[in-house]
Parts: sequence; structure tokens; C-alpha cells
Amino acid sequence: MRYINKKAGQNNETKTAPIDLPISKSLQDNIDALSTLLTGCSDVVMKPFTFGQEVKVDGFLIYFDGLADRREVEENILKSLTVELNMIPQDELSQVNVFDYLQQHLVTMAELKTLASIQEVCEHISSGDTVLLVNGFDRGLVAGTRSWQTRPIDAPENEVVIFGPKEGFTETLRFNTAMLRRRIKSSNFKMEHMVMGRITKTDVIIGYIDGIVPPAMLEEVKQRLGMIDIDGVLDTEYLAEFIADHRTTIFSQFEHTEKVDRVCAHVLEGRIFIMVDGSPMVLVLPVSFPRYWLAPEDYYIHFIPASLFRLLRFTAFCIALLLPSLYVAVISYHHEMIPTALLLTIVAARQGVPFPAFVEALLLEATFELLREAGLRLPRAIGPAVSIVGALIIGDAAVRAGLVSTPMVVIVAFTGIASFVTPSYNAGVIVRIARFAFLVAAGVLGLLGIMIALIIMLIRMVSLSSFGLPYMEPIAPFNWREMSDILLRRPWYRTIRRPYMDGMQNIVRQKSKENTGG
Amino acid sequence: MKIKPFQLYCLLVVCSAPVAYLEISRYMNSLLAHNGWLAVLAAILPCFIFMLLLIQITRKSPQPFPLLLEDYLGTWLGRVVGCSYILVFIMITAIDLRFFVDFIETHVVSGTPLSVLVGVLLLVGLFALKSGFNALIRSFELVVLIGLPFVFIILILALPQDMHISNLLPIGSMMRIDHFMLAVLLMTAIFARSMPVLTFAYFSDDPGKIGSTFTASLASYWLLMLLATLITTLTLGAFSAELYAFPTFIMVTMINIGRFFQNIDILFISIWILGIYASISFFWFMSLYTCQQVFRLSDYRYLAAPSSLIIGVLAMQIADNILQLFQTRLFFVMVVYGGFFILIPSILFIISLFKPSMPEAILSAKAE
Amino acid sequence: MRIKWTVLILLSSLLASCTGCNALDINDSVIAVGLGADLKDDTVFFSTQLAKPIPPEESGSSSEAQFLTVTGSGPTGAEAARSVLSSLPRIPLWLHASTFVLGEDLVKNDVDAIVDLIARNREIRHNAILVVSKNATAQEILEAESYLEIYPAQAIEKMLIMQERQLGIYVPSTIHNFLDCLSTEGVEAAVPQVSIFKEKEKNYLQLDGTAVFKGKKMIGELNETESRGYRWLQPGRHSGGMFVVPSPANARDSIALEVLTFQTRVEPCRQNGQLIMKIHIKADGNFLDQTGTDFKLSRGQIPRLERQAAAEIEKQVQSCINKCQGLESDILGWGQIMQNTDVKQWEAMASDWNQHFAGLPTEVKAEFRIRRTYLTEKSFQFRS
Repeated sequence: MRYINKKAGQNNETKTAPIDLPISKSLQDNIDALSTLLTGCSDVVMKPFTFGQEVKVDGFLIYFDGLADRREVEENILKSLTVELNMIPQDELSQVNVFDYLQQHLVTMAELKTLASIQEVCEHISSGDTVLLVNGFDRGLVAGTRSWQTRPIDAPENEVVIFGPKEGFTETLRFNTAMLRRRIKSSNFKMEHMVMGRITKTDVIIGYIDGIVPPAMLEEVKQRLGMIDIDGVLDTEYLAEFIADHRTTIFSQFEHTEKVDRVCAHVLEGRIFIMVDGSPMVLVLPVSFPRYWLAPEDYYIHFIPASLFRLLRFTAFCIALLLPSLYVAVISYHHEMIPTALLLTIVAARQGVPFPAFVEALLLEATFELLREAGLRLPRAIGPAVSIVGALIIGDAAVRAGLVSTPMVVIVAFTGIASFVTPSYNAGVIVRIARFAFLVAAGVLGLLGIMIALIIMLIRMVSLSSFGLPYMEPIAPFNWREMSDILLRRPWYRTIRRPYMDGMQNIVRQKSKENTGG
Repeated sequence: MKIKPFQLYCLLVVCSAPVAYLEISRYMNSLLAHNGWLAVLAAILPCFIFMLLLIQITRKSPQPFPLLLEDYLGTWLGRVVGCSYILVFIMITAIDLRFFVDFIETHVVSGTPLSVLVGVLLLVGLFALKSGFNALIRSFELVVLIGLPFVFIILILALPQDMHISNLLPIGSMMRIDHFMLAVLLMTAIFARSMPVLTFAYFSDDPGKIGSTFTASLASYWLLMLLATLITTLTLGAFSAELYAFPTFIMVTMINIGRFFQNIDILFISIWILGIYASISFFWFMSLYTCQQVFRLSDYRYLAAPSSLIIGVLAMQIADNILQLFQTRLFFVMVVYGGFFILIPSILFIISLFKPSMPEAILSAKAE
Repeated sequence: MRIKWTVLILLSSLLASCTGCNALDINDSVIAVGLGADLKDDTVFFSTQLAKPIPPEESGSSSEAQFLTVTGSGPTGAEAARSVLSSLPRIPLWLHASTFVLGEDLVKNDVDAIVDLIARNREIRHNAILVVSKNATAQEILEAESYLEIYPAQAIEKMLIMQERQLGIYVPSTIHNFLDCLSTEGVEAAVPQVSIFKEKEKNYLQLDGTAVFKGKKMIGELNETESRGYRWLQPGRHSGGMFVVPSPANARDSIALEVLTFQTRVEPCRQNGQLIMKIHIKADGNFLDQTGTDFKLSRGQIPRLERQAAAEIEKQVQSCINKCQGLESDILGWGQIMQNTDVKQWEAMASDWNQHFAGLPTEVKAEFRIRRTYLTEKSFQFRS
């Protein structure tokens, strides 16, 4: 089909859109085509000029203002063509070899490529390169002049650490790859390039370490990425939803991170990352749920405190998930479980509260989520103020008015604090959503309901996978060797192997004499 | 379908332990009073023999369990026996379900209608079956990982509450030998619930470890039952333990940690739901799988929904009251377990002795 | 797919609608801290001591009692207990009751009126403390007040536990122990008693004696000395308590000794064809105080005092044994011990064990060791 269309197009050239044209030998044709294409693009700079003394050549320079480094364009292209060209022996130059000469001797830039079509010209200038067209040649010369204003490299706000590297990714892909490359100085560390998005033409990087990554998984990722057809890719999540194993689930099968060191650590364990130009969020895959409990910081502090912190975080995760529903279940079904003295206090506090415990919990939890969301969205200056006002005023007033009981406020506040302990945002989201499901289950059947909801959640979790890796690995399927790095933090000197993944090429992390087995 | 040794272990534990924990100590107590633990102690021998028997059948057969029947008994007889196994598995699911629901009704939510609890548990099982075999078996791993340590903790916690060594005295006296035999038989029959593992041992990805896996699971089952019986007698005393419907549970209600945490029985029950879920969905799965194999169906999953109705109705109609339920259950344990889980495997074992050992080609194909 | 979801949603909403009603909100219930049962003319009276729910800002300010005792009556215990609800708007949560009081009239008549309820009802905690009322009904006990504690029923539990640690007279008994004694042959139940004393127009609780059961009936009681003896006779290792011995120097003065731990061994022995119970008590303790100055505490005097203490223990034990044998009630569990050590012998005597028990010769041997004497190592020196 395509072949036939192309043939028809050749016969009738007038119908070909300017974008599909090859670069013509006539500079004027090219200028015309580009002008048509870029009508309305006020930020484009098109400069026709003439260079050479004996051999006068017409040239045409095109780039986007702000994307390309104007000084570099002026110094390395315009200046060298118009001024430095005159310094070299003129007899070497002729109308025929001027293009090659330019490419090899004159344009003093490292990143040079030749182009053949108008479309490529457009793509390159859109990403900040400068294109030089020379009259009489059906090729264009592209110089890498990408340089645009960007956010400085910063510590990511939502992944705060006290120990260890603090650098985070920025929106610029090149800086990000540079940061990664600086940390992994191996030629085996590959970052393959893809362009995605029909309109946005976004650069996408798939990174991995050759020789560790399971090749089948890498192929699978590439294949799934290749099937995506979308007009624009603004963030990695655009891709994540396409390539996930299971799409309709609240359990994220990726890890999103902004931290350079975290990505490096994952890559070293044979995982793959996907990076998108324009977003500091990097997608790491495959990931299993228990690894959401691990904070990157764990590996930068001594393993004993790190293990204790990890246990604490695990407890906090359970509290954040279950505490409100446990409270509701106990208060409305299993009063006997509470020690008598405590129950007497709770009963006294609940006197006159008009709502059943379930409704009370639901109301307060919803309020908490509202406040949390509002705190995120509000302008930074007034955000904290509103959160404090919301928490203090609403909470206090509600208790005073007898709408809610103080124990419930304590429970919800405690749950809130615990939910911030989970290092991964994705796990936090699961907790926030599942908490309400558990609350309803507790309201319906008490502790029995919670347990049933828990079983259903666990079944769902074990039925998931992330690129073939079971989602609950290493808990189910159980792997004792890896469990020691899930609940506790394994000391580095005992970390002989990488976490196991199916098809992994090299699992040995430390080559010691006793532990050479794979 | 490949099963790791640990998964096989979980399957074995899940088939016998959760329900047995609730009923064994009751049977032992009512038959032998304070000597119940002796029967458990002695039962290791028949259980071990039964285990060897199963291992032998697994080693000799080129087929997993329901097809193995046709292999041994001939196509038609094999199919008929296979069909009866479908019924047996469905019955076990239903009766386990009812047994546990009655247990919950007795101790926690006495007001909730039977149908609601049956429905909820069936819903969970249905969800698990629909998620596929891999999810099912992984969830069993979680069940065992959470449940088994928890049960041992509970037992250890219950021990210091009101322990009297003298409750075990005088060892071995006043024991009727027929009751003793019956108790050992019951213990073995309940262990024999792990017979369906004939299917799964076949799928093990490490056939060399089947023996050790079986031994480990028998050890866990036996230790659990021994501790449960022993500690029940130690803390409650033989005569008062005999009164209760679920003595292991009464023992839990007496737990009191630091005069602050008490009445934690509901916690125990909720963890127990995990085990019951596993037990129910396993036998349910077995009935569907057997059905699929016997009738050569392409998938078993679409059978899950209709069979849930059968199991639900059966569970509710199986007995009018708890006394009748206990009676039915005891009959079931003696006759059906004895017949289908001990007698038929023994026949298979005898046939397997006369069969040539498996050709190398099949063995290597199995290993792959 | 859509049908599946619809069915699922329908099912779950159905579930939700029919189970939510089973919830018992804490505002619809009231905490029962103590339970009690009486029997009068074949009618069971069931009393429940309820904790009044008082908002935090009001608690402590009011001087009136923060508990309420309600009593219902009926032909059985369960009926009596539930009949309270005709005048009570909230459901009592029995599982928090840490004390169960058996009325004197009930136990003297027949406990079978209430025992089945106690064993069967899941809301009655089997590790709750059991006491018998003395010179009062269970209802009166539950209506009386106690020092310091807001809820008298909890006070009974604490009193029993604290006195065992410091004073060492009564042996706390739980519902489970009681049921175990009732259902086991060769041992009878003994339960501490609680009575009422009046002070400033108010009734207060105190521990007062131990009720002795024979079968389903209470047939007598142990006084303080006999109760102490009963405590010494508990087989196994125990700790806490104290006792007073007359000073070895003269009979007027007394010396108080604290018991740290004691261990009791009871063994049936055969001597000259005669069955004899050998009781061996080993106790460790401290010197607490003395009256008078005649007895001079010194290293040489210690064995003398220890012999005196052992004699006192033997006396207390013997008084308890005499009382039990007089009542023909084996609360000491010697039948059990017989059964555990010599089954054949036991089987011969099992049918009329209590008669055998009453005539059983005993041999009591006590040892007491003084370990420490607190701050002063000698007796106080008066000088003028």
C-alpha cells in the first residue's frame, strides 16, 4: 500500500507536503519549504548568508531561538564560515567539495551529522540543534547546539534523604544521562535512544547494564514501547500505563524516582529504567511490592540502624493501612479485645458522639485526605498555614462540638503520620486507597471483614506481575535468601548476590572465593 | 505449571493443618482424656508410612493424580473413581467451610446469618480460583508464612498462663486400647488429607526434594498437633477440656499478656481465616482440577462459579445443628478420609509395586 | 464482564445490608466490670456491676458512685441476666468482667444452677476471678464499695492478687480453676470469700475466709489460719506472703517473717501397709520485724527462729488438713495426686475417696530459711 502511494506521489510532486520533501539541491526550494512549514513559529531564526571569497556559496542557517545556544552558533558556525574561511588557502575549496570541507574542517563543533530530508531538519531544530543548508547540496549539516535554560540540579523535594547523595534529575534528558554516566563508568551501561510521540517527538532513553539485565525482559520492554502510538509523551507515566502487565489495578508495577543514585542502584541489580525528556521522573522496572518498603537511605547508613528503621517503616505501613479499620472493628464488634481501663476511657470519650464509629472514621479520614490534597495544591506560601488551620481548627472544633470523639482524632492523626513514613509514593497511594476499602470491610464484618479484605488484597497482589517478576517476590514465591534484605537490611559484605530475576545473566555481585556460584 | 519445593510444602501444610488444629485436640481429649498427646506421638509412625506410600506412588507414576487413576486402574474404572473424587473434594470443601463457619458463629459473630459468612468465604475462594493456579499457590505461601509462626506464638503464649504438669499424669494409665487405636487412626486420616499432593508432587521443579519436603510438612503437622494437644491438656486439664467444643480455642481465650492484653481470641480467629481460606480453596481447586482432568476439559476456571453454588448450598444443608455437624464430620473423617485418602492410595501403592519403574525418557521429560 | 461486576456489587451490597446490624456500637453498650449470681427459692438472681459512662470532664468531680449494679431474676442464669434489659437501655459487655461473685445462698444450695451458664457462655471470661459472698448475697457484694478503686469488682481482683503478694492468706481462684475442680475427680473446689463491713454508713468489701466445696455444694469454710495452711499446701512453687511466729525467747512477743518463695511437695507413701501423705514444705524468707527485746537477732539465733517458723508453718498446715478431713472434702487435690502416682491404689479408693481422705494420716515437714534481715542486721538496741 505504502509503496503504491509513494509512487503516486512521485508522479505528482505538487501534492507532496513540504514536510515529506527531501532536501533539494536548490537552496531557495528548501527555504521555501521550511518557511511554509514554520509559518507562525515566531521563535525560529532563519538566516540566509553568503560565504567564501573566490567561491561564493549561499548558505542558510536555521535554529530555534532559546533552544540553541546563540553564542555557539555565532562563534562556531557563522564566524568560522564568514571569517575563518578566508584564512585558509582558497584553492582547496571548490563548489563541489565545499560541503565536505565545511563538515570536516570548518564547523568547529563536535556533534555533527548530515541530514537528507526536511522532516529531519524540523526534528533537529526542534530539539535545539542548528541546521546549515548549503546551496547546491541535497544534504543539510546539523550541529549540536542544544542549550536551553533549565532548572538547576536540585535535591528532589519528595524524596528527601539525610544521608547519601542528594542529586535529583531535572527536566533535561542530557543532564540526566550525564549524571547517570558519571556514576556508572562502564561501557556496559547502555542507554538506548527512542523517539516517541507523533507530535512531541520526545526523546526516550531505555537504560540498563548489558550483561546483567535479563535479555528477554529487555526485548519485551522494547517491544511494548514500540507498540505505543500516542501524540505526545510528557511524562514517564504516559508510557507506564501502556507497558504495564496489569492495567486495571491500584498496585503500581513501576518505581518512580527522581534520585540519580536510586536509579543507579536499580540498574546495578539488573533492572531497566525508562527516562523521558522533559520529565525528571524516571521509571524503574520491574519492581516487586516488598521493595517499596526499602528506602534508598537504608543503604547509606550502617546496617543495624537501617534494619531497625526498616522494621519501623514496615510497622508504620501496617498501621497506615489497618489502624482506622482495626479501631472501627474493635469499637463496633470486638469490645472485649480492648483492655478494660482503655475501653472505659474510650467509652467516656465517645459519650454523646452522634455517629457510629464507622461513619466517624470515614468522615475524619476523608477530611484528612482533603486536607492533604489541599496542602499539596495550595500555593506554597499558604499551604502549611491551611493545613495547620484545617487540622487544628477543624479537629478541635469537631471534638468540642461533640461531632467526633478524641480517640478517633488521635487514631486518624496517627495513621496520617504513619502513612508519611512509607518511602515510596506508590506504596503510599495504595495505602491511601486500600485504607478506605478496609474501613468499609471493618464496618460490615468487623475484624473478620478486615481479614477477608486482606485476603482478597493479597490474592490480587500475588496474581500480579511486573514484567514477569511476581509482584510479591521474594515473599511469594518465597525466597529466604532475599527476604533477609526485605525485612532487615543485609550488610553489604553479605550481599553476595543480586536479587534474583528470571533470566538474569549475572547474579554475582561480589566475587569472593567461597561464593562464586551463580 | 511448576512448583517450588517450598510451595509444595505450603500446599501440604495447608491441606491438613488448619482444620486439624481445631478438631484434633478435641478428638484426642474426648477419646483418651489426658493421654491424647500419646496418640499424637504414636501417630507419627502411620503418618510416616502413609507419606512413604505417597512418595512411592509419585515416583512410579508418569501422570499427575486424577490421570494416574486411569493409568493404574484402567480407563473406565479410573474415570469412575476420578468422578467420585470430584464429589469427595466438593464435600470436603463444603464440610470444612461449614465447620469453620460454625466455629466463628460459636465464638465471635453469633448473630450473623450462616449464609453471609458462607457467602463471604466462598467469594474469597472464588476470587482466588479465578486468579489462577499461580496466584492461588503464592497466596498459600503467604498464608503459611503468616499463619504458622503465629500459631506457634499463640501456643507458646498460652503455655505459661495456667500450666500444670500434673494434668498429664499419670502417663499412659486409664487408656482404652481401642480408643487409642481410634485416635491414632483419626490423626492419620486427617493427615491423609494431603493425598491430593499426588498431583502437585508431579509438577515439582525439583523432584529430588519431594522426600524432604514431605518430611518437613509431616514434621510441622505433627509438631503442631502435638503441641496443640499437649498444651490444651496442660492448661485446661483433661476433664474440663473435654467439655468444650473447641478446646484449643478456649486455651487462647485464657491468654493474658501483662494483665493488659487479654481476650485476644478474635485476633486468633481472624488469622485462622487465612488457614481456612487456604484449606477451602485448595480442596475446591482440587475438585475443579480433577473434573477438568477426568472429563478432559480445556480449563477449570469456568467451573468455579457454578460449583460455588453447589458448595454453598451443601455447606448450609449438611447439618441442622452443631452437634449433628460434629457427628457428620467424624463420620466423614473416618469413612471418607479412610476410604478415599488411605484405602485407595494403598491400593494404588500395591499396584505400583507390580508396575515397571518409569522409563528414563519419561523421567527426564518430567524433570524438565 | 459488566454482568459480573453488577452481580458482585449486588452481592456485596446485600452482604453489607445484612451484617452491619450485627455491630454493637460502643454507645449502645455498657461495660460490666463484675458479675454475680444468687439463688432464692429456685429463682436465679443475676447481678451485673456496670461502669457508668462518664464524660472525661465530669469524671472525678462527682462524689457519687461511678458504678451501677443491676439485678435480674429468672428460672435460669441466662434468663435472669437478660431480663435486666427490660429496664436497661444498653447491652452489658460481660467480657470485661474480671470478677464473678457466687452468692452464699447459691453455693450452699447447689451451684448447678449457674455452672452450665459459666462454662457455656462465651462472654464469661474463664480467667476471671471467682469469689463467694459471705454473710451477704452476691448482689449486696456488687453493690458495696471499696477503698480507692472506682469499680469494686475490679477491687476484689486486685485485693486478691495484692494480698497474695504481700500478705499471703488466700489463694485466688479463677472460673477456670473452679470448673476444673468441679469436673475432675479427686479434687474439690475452694474459693475465697468476700464479706461486707460498714464504715460511715457505707458498705465496704473485704476478703474473709475460704469457702470449701464438696461436689456441687459449699459445706464449710476455712478461717484465716486454715486459709494460710491451704496456701502452704498448694503443690509447686509459689512466692510472696508473710506470717507471724511467736518469739522463741518468750511467748508474749511475736516476730513477723516474710515469705519470698516456698515449694511444696505432697507425696503419698506406704508405711507399714498404711497409706500416708507426706508433705514437705521448703520456704525462704526475710525477717520483717519483731516486738519486744528479748529475742536478740544474731547468727546463732537464726536456726532457733527457723525451727520456730517451721513449727508455725506445720501448725497452719495441720489446722487446714484437720478442717478438710473433718469436712470430708478433698480441696487439697490429694485424690489427683494419688491418681497421678498410683493408679491401681486410686482405682480401689476412687468410689469413696472422701471417706479415705478423711482418715488419711499425714506427715508434715516444713523447713524455713531466713535469707535477709533488711536494713538492720541485729535487733534494735535500746540504750538510755
